[in-house]
Amino acid sequence: MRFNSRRGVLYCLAVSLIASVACPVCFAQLGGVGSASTAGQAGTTTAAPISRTIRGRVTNGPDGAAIPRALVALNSRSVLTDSQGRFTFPDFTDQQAYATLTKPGFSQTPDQPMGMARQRLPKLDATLELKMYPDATITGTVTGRDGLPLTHVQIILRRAVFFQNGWRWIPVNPTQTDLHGEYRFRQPAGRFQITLGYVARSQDTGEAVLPVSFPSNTSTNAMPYFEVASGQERRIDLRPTTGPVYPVHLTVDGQDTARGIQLTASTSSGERFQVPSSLQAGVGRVSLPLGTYTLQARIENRDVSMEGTTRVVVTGKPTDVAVIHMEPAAIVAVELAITSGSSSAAAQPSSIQDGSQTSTGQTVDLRQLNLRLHNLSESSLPGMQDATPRMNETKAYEFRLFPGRYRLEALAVGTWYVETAVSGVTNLISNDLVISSAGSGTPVRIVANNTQGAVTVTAPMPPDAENVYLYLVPRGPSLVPINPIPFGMSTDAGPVSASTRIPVGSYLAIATTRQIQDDLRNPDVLSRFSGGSKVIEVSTNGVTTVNVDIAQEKAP
Amino acid sequence: MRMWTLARVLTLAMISAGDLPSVSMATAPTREYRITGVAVSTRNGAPVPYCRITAYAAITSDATAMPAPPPPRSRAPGLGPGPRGQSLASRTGGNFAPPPQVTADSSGRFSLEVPGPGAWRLAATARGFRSQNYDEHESFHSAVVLTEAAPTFNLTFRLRPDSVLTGLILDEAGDPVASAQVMAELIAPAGTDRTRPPSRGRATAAGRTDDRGKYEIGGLEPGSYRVKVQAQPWYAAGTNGNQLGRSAAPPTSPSPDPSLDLVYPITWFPGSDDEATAEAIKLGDGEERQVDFHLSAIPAIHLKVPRNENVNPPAPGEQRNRQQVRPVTVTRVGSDTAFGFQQINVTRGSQSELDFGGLSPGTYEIRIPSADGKTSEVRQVEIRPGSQAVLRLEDSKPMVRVQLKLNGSPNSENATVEFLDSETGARIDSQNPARGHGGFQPGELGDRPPPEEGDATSRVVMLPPHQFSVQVYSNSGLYLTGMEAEGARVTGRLVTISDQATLTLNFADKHASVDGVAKIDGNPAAGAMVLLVPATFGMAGDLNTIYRDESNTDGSFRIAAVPPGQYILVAIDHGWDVDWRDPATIGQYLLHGTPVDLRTAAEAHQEVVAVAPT
Repeated sequence: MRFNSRRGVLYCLAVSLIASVACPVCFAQLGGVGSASTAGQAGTTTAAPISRTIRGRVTNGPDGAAIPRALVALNSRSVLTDSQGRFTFPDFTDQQAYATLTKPGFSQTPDQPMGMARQRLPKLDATLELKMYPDATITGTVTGRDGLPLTHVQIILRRAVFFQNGWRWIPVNPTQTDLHGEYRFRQPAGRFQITLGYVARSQDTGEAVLPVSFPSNTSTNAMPYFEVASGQERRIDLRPTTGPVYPVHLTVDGQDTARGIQLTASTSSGERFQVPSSLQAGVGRVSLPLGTYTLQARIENRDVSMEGTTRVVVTGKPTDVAVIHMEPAAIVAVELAITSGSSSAAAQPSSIQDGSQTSTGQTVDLRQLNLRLHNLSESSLPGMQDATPRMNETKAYEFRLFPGRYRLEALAVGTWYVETAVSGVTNLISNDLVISSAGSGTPVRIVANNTQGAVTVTAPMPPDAENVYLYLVPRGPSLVPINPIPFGMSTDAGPVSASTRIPVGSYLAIATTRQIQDDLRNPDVLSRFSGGSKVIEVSTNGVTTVNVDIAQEKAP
Repeated sequence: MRMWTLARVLTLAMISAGDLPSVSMATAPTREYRITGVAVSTRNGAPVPYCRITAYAAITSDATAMPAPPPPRSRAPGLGPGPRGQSLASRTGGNFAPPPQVTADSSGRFSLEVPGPGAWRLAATARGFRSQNYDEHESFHSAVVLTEAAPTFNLTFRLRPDSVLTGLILDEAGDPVASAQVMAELIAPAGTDRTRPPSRGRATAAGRTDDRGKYEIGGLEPGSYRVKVQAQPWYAAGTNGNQLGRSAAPPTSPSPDPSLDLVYPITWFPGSDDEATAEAIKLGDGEERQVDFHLSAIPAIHLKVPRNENVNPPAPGEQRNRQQVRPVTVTRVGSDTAFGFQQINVTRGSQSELDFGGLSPGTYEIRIPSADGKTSEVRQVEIRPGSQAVLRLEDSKPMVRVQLKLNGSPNSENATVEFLDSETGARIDSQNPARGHGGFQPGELGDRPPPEEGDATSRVVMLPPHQFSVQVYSNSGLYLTGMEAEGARVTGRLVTISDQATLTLNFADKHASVDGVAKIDGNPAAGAMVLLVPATFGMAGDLNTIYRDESNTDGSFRIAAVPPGQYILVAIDHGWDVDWRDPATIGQYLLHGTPVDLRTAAEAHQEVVAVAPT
């Protein structure tokens, strides 16, 4: 998967996240679902399809109260629960069933960010007990300098989601404050940051409103968030700085045309926003309220990547002036070498610029490794955080990087994975990449490998109708993404198992009953889940098999 | 002063270059031009503190009195009628100096210096008050006229506070309905116009309900409104997924449970599905009114249409690329959609037919491209409340092919002819086919339609067999002088289509104008309603409309771009509540009016005596 646009990165991540969350079991098993005619042929050969009446109840996860009028969909049929939360599916002939629960203000899982999860139901005989979890509410009032509410200002909510190797912000549809200056969001429980967007001219006061976030964007914490639990209401009032705007004479040099210059300003509290400006031949005016700002000008398109910053103090006097000198981004070449450990031969590296070929004729393209450099220092505007390698005129791959600090990620699909990654003497798997100036940077050297081993993990079946997930956490620095692998559910009460192929190495195998929205590489997080887990060594010698217990989560 | 005139601010050379809100003259003149006064609320007479007052210069130009060509179907809900108060200066952002502006003090008192004499449009805005002009009525206002002899003016700026509509939308079980769209339409203020259907879609403001089912529509101009709700049952979304804009489930999805295959019809307050029985809600200045709805779901209606690939199967040996056959489209048309049309997605399909489901009562257009893709059969079906659940192609009526001939002016080729359906409120436009686009027809989103037949002065348009009011829009100020039809009945501006017909439209583009001063008891009548009434007004077959203006603070007025003819000029002091569209009412005033002959004179000047309203 290769992404050309930054925004596309976020969306594609979001879509992948939805897909992996919504249908984990779908990936594992597709047999037996569908019309009654095929279900009957799946197992037994002579018996007619069993028709039964499925009964169940939908209750509120936190307190067990019945949920009336919830939509329960079992395969292709759906029905609303009654006032006691009960539902009935008469004449149900499918042998296996997936349940989808829907109700406004509720979600099917306690903390999934989005999408409709489908639950695999292992037992259809007994009365089903299904749970839904109420959404959380985030609400508050925005008031201005005069203590009066600010209406029609945009409020942006972002959810912090841990996905594969890193934390990501997933935006929620923004809203506007109403006539009382109030905003309101209803979302499944999770971790969020809320931001009031910059307003050049308020409808109420005619003045500008500077952005403010909660939690605020301090430089130490890259992902500041607050947490709301299921069914909880959290009230966050915002008191932004407001004031009239004053013009600043701006000159941007280093580039001939003014086309495509993106101008942003950052306040001293780390809020970054786009500023409207009109530049003719790099000269023009920008209007800002009183205060101190960092102004950044950037041009980024297929041909040109340039950026410059300057500090400006807006005093309101006609002498306010800012000059930005743009520098081109650093060009960092990407060199790819491969090792292949097919059979027991020693690694045979060969180095070619863009794609590589092993002695056995296998090829890998850099794009399969899905490299990206996640910008840690940029306080985020959507779509501006990750840098991906681009092919230049000589068909070689390179990164174009503005000064900052980056972390390497490789969300590889397929069998190839990143074994080592260095820049000069810096090991990029365990360290950040620091870019300090323009010009050419030290190339990044990647060694890719496709040596994988097979793993099968078994675990006891949990008592309730729950899904079970396997996490294989690499021990030691690694770029291998940690993805939840769903266990196949059995129809009897026997143990369940999960099988996969994964790069060779040493892992900790953990089985849980819910997807973990957290960084398992972090020892503190890992320590909450380790009970019942086991260390395994994955190699090319046969299938590594291990039996684990379902890990219990200790409250943080 | 008329808003159309001021929409074309031509020059701001009078304003000296200055970046800060209060402008000071750099050069010699000693005379200071100033507008002073106090801003008060009409609700209780209390001052409006920190009100922001802006003065916009206007050069009276020959801006056409004809309505400007409509923008391409962006009838998206706005924040209510009224001027936005933005000048050309602030729009171009930099090349022009900003207009003079001042903020009133805590008692609402202000003193605004302007750079020179002339007619100044004064606009005010504040928290809780939408931007509005001094002495504003509909799209008119009274400009403040400053002269060398009278360089200052003191006034009381009466601002009407915004009204608010708020409420709860609940479903049949008493649960909140989220994401319901609530629309408030301002009812045309002065009575009914007998030459055109009740205005629809004009001045609509909208709001959306939150998860509690609560909505709030603010910034409303005081007046009478009809309120309606569009919503979808949340439990039907996954099954039929196709109501008014939602994306559909794939065509192979299983059939929805009949008990959940429900829709909400468009519901007018207090709960009817017919606009004619909707209650008018009168909002006073600054009033907040609670308007709640309880929605009842009805079974969704399905329209089944045979797949057009099967209509003309390819001849043996004939190669036909399946991709080239454009699919059947169904589009909801009419005034109850945000943009005048809404594409409907297929919910299910079988080998032989397509099922367009999740339909609620309304008017739908079905477009069936022919096998060769060159023409389309166009049909229309009207789904009424209580309709049966499944409708087929036979329940729709074919549209009628109408040939248009545009006659009388070399500029007529660029005119847009609009047919306003008296029954459904849908608008069908016919534009110059030589321009390549053939107009923005419903059902052709994203698809280049086949070019309409004809050349610039002769066109073809497909219309349902209804009655239409014909209006023409053009940049060159064309107006309709008459229509003749073969195969259809014409009365004035109305044409009734039943079968294939040829319609000849006669145009002209000559204009005249009249300006003058309205006086009462020898003094200037400021803020009077000035009407230029055609001598033929009210007679059968008359195509002419009444043109209006509001007199400025010195009594001056100007009505431009009117078709030549004989008129009677009337000024009514404080006459904004008069039902000027009613010939019987206006007839009394005509007796005291002043005849103006604009048949030959291009510009006339006329003093007129304003009368009190009767």
